[in-house]
Amino acid sequence: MGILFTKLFSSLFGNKEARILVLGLDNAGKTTILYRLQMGEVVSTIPTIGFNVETVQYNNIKFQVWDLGGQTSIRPYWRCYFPNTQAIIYVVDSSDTDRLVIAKEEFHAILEEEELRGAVVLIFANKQDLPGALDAAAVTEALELHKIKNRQWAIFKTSATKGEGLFEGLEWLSNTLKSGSG
Amino acid sequence: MKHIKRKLAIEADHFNRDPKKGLEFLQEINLLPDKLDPESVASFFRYTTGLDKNLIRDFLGNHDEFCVQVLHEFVKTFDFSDMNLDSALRVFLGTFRLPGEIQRVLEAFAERYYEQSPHILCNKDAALLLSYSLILLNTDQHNVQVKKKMTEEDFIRNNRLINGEKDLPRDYLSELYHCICENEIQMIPDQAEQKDVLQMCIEGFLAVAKISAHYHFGVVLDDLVVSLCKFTNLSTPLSIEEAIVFFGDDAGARMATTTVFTIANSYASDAADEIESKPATSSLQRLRTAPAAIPQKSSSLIERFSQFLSFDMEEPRLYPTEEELAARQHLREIVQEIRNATSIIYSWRVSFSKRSLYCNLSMLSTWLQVDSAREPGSWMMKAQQCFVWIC
Repeated sequence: MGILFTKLFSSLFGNKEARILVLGLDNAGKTTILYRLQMGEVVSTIPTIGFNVETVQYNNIKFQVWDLGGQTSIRPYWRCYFPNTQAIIYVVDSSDTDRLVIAKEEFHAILEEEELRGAVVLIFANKQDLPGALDAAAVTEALELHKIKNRQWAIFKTSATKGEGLFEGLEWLSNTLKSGSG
Repeated sequence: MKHIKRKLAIEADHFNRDPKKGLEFLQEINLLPDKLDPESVASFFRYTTGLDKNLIRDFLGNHDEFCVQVLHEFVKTFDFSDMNLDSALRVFLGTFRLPGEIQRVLEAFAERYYEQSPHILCNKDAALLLSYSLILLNTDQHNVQVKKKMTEEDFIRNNRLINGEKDLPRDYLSELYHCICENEIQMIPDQAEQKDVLQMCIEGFLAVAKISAHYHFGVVLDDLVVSLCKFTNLSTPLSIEEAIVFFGDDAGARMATTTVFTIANSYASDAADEIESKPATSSLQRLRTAPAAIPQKSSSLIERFSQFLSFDMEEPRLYPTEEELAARQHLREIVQEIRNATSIIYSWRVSFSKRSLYCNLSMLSTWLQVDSAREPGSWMMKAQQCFVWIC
């Protein structure tokens, strides 16, 4: 009963924290997205050697977003990143139609990881501002998203450079994470 | 050799402003071969001081074929024999900023490391995985954004089965974990970051000066000025053009120069007693008499400084190429910067008591003679007015 009450309380008033990984092929726009999302105060220190990590507060959820940099072939390297991850943001360059096949393979490989079984998936069909960019439906097909089983997912059209679509995605993410464990 | 070093220092500055043109310029002056080869460019990145580490990052992180080749040559310039993985990473990552697209760079690193120090790692993939893992740990432990830190158990668990589907020895991982936690992997600071450190040193110097002046420790003030003068590097035997470039690029020298004059300005009356009582050893006198290695050129710190001030009054020399014009433009900016610092010096002259001024009169007149040999600008007129006014 006590636990239930605490959960209820925190879902109503408290700040939940969620660890989120931003993944995708190199040049998909991950870093730009990270810094678009980050609205808080920019701490100017000598950057830590390693990955970009930012905290984004949205709808009472504190997202701790890890930008793991572009990967060309990922499977063996990933296990150390995955524990305690509530969500993945998978970023696709919608205009790079040549590499969508690779993106698809990498995406499904990630979903097979044991550690990520409980993570929800948000797909950003990014670079919508570029000519020839596929729309959300085409990207859904290219990535074979219908094959996703037992997992909540959503896809949003985005343009990171213009800042479009990102917060709609975050809205979905915060609602999903709240209802999922609240 | 010295000549080449000097050229390289100028070149570093070129490169920082425009990497592509910088490399072209290196080819023009025959420091790089006509047809760029990855090995030469890699050596340039590795051994030239003063290059912008962000630009090296952009170059080495680029997926362009040539850049990838340079990356591979770049890692070959390192010797990781008998090094722990964390030490090797520290050495490697100290030389440039790690790009966001981390994978290619770490692959190249891991290959080199495994080749030289396999130890208990069974293949280069294991070296790569563990390097990733250490960088992740470094971020986790030392990035302020990360609140919940990884435990030793987490770290060991994350690295299970990475050594060719087998576990690495627990002690080995445990030692690495503690090395990273207790000692962050950091980049060797750039000039910009060094500036903060220099600023702190200068503040220290000024505090010492203030205390010595308060207690009339003229000798201490003297020593202070003498040491600061050494750091100004103004008596180096270089041509005026080269000296300006060096002075402009050397934040330490600039700050030391300004500080010398600040101290002289604020505490001149204390120092002046010293000048009178021990004229031979007085540091303020030494400003005038400090000999330079090339006698026919500038003969003292002050004169060298005057040359700087009046540098852009001269007619432009025959500068045929665009690069050299750009270099000259850069010189102008530096001269302007130096000139801003000199407002202090004029007030220094004003604040000198007449007696100490008398002692330094010869110095001032040499100074002004050098200046008026060139075309006087408005700032020089002002200086002369000051001089007349004091007299």
